[in-house]
Amino acid sequence: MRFLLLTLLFGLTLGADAQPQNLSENYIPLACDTNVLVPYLELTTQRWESDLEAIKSKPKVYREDLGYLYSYRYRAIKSCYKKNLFYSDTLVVNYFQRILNVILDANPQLPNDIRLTISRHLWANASSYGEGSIVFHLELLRWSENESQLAFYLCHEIAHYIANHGNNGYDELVTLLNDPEYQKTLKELSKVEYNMADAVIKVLKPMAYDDRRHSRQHESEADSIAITLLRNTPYSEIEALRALEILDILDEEVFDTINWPSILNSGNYPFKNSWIAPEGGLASFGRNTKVDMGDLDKDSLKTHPDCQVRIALIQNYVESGPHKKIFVQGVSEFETLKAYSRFERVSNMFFQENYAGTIFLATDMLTDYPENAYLIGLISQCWLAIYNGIVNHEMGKYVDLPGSTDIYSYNQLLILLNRLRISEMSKLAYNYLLKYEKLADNSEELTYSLMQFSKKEGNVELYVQLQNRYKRNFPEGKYISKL
Amino acid sequence: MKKLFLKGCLVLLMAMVMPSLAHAQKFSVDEVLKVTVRGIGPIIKGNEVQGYYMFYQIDKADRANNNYKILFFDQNLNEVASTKLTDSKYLYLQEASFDGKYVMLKFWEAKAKQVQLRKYDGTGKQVSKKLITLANKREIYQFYTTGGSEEIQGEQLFAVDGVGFVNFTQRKTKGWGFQIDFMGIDNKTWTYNADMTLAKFQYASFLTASKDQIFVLIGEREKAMSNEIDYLVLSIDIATGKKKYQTILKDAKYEIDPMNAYIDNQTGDLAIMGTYFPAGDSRGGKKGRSLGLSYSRLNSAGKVTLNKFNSWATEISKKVASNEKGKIEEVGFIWFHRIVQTADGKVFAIGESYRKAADGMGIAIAAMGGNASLMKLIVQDMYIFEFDKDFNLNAVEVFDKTTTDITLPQGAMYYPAPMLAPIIKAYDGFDYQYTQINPDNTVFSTCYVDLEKNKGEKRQWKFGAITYIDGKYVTDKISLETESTTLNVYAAKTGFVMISEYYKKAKKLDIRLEKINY
Repeated sequence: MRFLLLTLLFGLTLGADAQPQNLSENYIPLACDTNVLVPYLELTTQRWESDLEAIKSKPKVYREDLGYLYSYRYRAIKSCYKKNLFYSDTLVVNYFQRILNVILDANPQLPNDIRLTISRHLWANASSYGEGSIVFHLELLRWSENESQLAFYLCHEIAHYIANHGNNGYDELVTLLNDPEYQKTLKELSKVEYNMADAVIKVLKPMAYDDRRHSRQHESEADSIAITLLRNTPYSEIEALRALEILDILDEEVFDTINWPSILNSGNYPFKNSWIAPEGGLASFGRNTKVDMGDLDKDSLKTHPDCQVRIALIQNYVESGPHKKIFVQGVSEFETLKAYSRFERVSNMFFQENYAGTIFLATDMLTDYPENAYLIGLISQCWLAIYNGIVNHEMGKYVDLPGSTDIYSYNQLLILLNRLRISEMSKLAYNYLLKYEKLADNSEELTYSLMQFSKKEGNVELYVQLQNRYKRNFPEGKYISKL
Repeated sequence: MKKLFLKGCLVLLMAMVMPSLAHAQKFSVDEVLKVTVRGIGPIIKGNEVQGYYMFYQIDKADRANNNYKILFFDQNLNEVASTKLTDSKYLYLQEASFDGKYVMLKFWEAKAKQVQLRKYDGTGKQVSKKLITLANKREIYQFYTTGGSEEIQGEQLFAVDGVGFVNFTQRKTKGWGFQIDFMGIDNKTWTYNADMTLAKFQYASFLTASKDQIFVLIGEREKAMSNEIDYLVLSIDIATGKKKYQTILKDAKYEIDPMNAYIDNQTGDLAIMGTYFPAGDSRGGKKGRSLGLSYSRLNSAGKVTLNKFNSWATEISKKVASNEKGKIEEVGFIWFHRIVQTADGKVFAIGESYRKAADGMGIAIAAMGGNASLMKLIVQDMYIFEFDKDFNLNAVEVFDKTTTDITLPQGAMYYPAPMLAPIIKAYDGFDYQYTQINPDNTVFSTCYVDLEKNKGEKRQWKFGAITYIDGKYVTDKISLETESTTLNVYAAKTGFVMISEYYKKAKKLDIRLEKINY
């Protein structure tokens, strides 16, 4: 199987230039072509079919329930392929596959049906589906500091698979649901006339705590196994501790304040501070940050133990040694991918059609890459998409409402986008994009968006000029048929 | 878009912990707990939507009581607070207001015949409660029928920004009187009662308020069925709860039928707009025909300093074809829903045209010996009359929309057309929904619904908005076509409309804001 996977990888196409990109000028996103990944999906389908075959001998109710869960899991993975959520670009796929191969080669006892895919999900995570599929979110690479940490995350997910945590959880759930006592309890609950919610909580609380306790045990167990797997590799075990520390700070990303009045201001169309003035109403009432848990204890419901607890559990077992390396493949490839992952985050935000989020992240990145045509191209596309969203009464699909975030500058942007009148938005976007006109030759998106806004603002001369530039610079461009 | 699953967070949590499988024979947690939404609506301050409440029943507490939960959302649909409540199973949430510090919820407890005014702070904690018991069926009937305004500002409960809340209750006396309860932001309270010994029939409604006065419009009849109505403006000092002045709105030549009032942003005077009638007649009178639009100005002492009239026959006819009976030629009559003043002093009267017409179906039924009205009412276009600060008519704008037919109750065909407008209102027959004004009074949007029919297309419900901005009108339409079981439109913060869609099968309620283009 390992041979088969490598063979499949040779079929992948290069979506990005093999040479490191000059990020100060432009960026070409990593390729995500589902068609290239069809062999991966076929392997996943085969595994699902064999899982269903394997439970045929079980009693009907168990067979049906387990079959339902296996199929549910399969559909979840399949939908990721259908939604183009996996990278096909050799640069990123091969990089991670080589780390996996190091782990597999060092641990020949591991099963040979592990299928690793790298995903475009916006949150930093990695997961094991319990049937050989391991999904690593590229966003976690952005947070990681070295290759050994990536190896630990992969080992952790492999550990879940070989310990069969996912399927065991399904078995336990199906057993519980078919337990006559449980059914009797639920039937009795349904007959409770008064204060039913309290009664339900009373019955389910111990079950919920028990389930989550198991889940936390699984995480700790996976950490221990991961260290064992890592030990056989050249990767540094010490980095596992830092990898867990990083998981603890994922939700605490701090952004620099973006000075929207300054960025969006122009001589022709001055920025009005009233556009971003805080909202009154019940927004000033405060925020309900507490999730209503009823009588449930929040800590008892955690699926993962606190990272500090996880670190304490493994820190006495991790060993350092002279043969251990932090990087096996070299620092530059890691650093290149890490730099790309920042751009991929913005690209994936755009892919998810969160256009306000894209403007925010891309503007934040412009501080480091002020002349990057890809970033300004994305921003220009977002302004145009939001404008069209307002016209079609679909802005809510692309722009969150104010107050939905704790990030100050993002919330200011949401207030601005929600408050601008359509004519104001056109003028603001047009005058802002005009500042970047010099980059238009490097970005068909910027050229096209600026063309559209110049038309709306009645600048026919610029419109015609941009149209000619587009035809000249992007004869194969995606908007050529619209010109 | 927010997705609120009716089973609430708790059930979601449980379902997450113990997912149910799709077998009919099995009980699942989802089926055990049934949560019912009992009300969703805007929380109002002045003319602005400040947020929303959602009131739902979790389960029964005992034979007489239920366990409820109330969620408070801000104007952007973010949950800001929540609270639990155990109370009578006959409890209904009627309306909600926000005074800048507290939210006041008005409940109706149908069994005890009590109005409950509960005040909540920003954490969802109840800080005070006031009970008003209605004495008899007549008062209860009045409770249900008073208000009913489609406007944003509230029905019987009103917030005075930074000051507190006032609540209006009609009281049965020998005739009718009223009670006004004030609950201040500083917890000061008072109750103002009309003279309950009078045999007059007095009906009070909220006009407007300043930081130190509440202005109340009183319609006063000598007898219950009398056509003669006097309109009085009562000013109550917020600090003391005492009457500051009471002034009758009358002119030597005309009867005045007030509709809206506002504190003039140029002079600080109380400006009242309405329609006017010949002396001895009024809306609901024998003729029921207004002569035009009126404007009255009261100074701080309650003295009428100006009564000004724009007649259909003269001033208005110069701008739009009309005759002296208030009938707009070719169109019919106009019912005015709302009058607003913008920051530049201009005044806008927002109306909707209607007319009587023969009802073909009714005639056919009558011809076959059936009981049916031979006439119907047709509701048609939106009209906006623009006046300058001195109430001189500047312009009249007409906005087309699809005609709506309203079948009249039998006998109503003999009423004069102007008297039929209240019937259209009672039948919810006007398409007009509400008018929202931005906080600095520079922009207003008049909103309506329209069952639009375009050539070659099936009829579609549309939400229409006419926005006045920078001296111009901008129109916009939002499709209300949906796959949901029910769809409701609610007022939202300026420039938006709130749409809720309930999916019965999925037991799911989606709520979202849609931006109005202008």
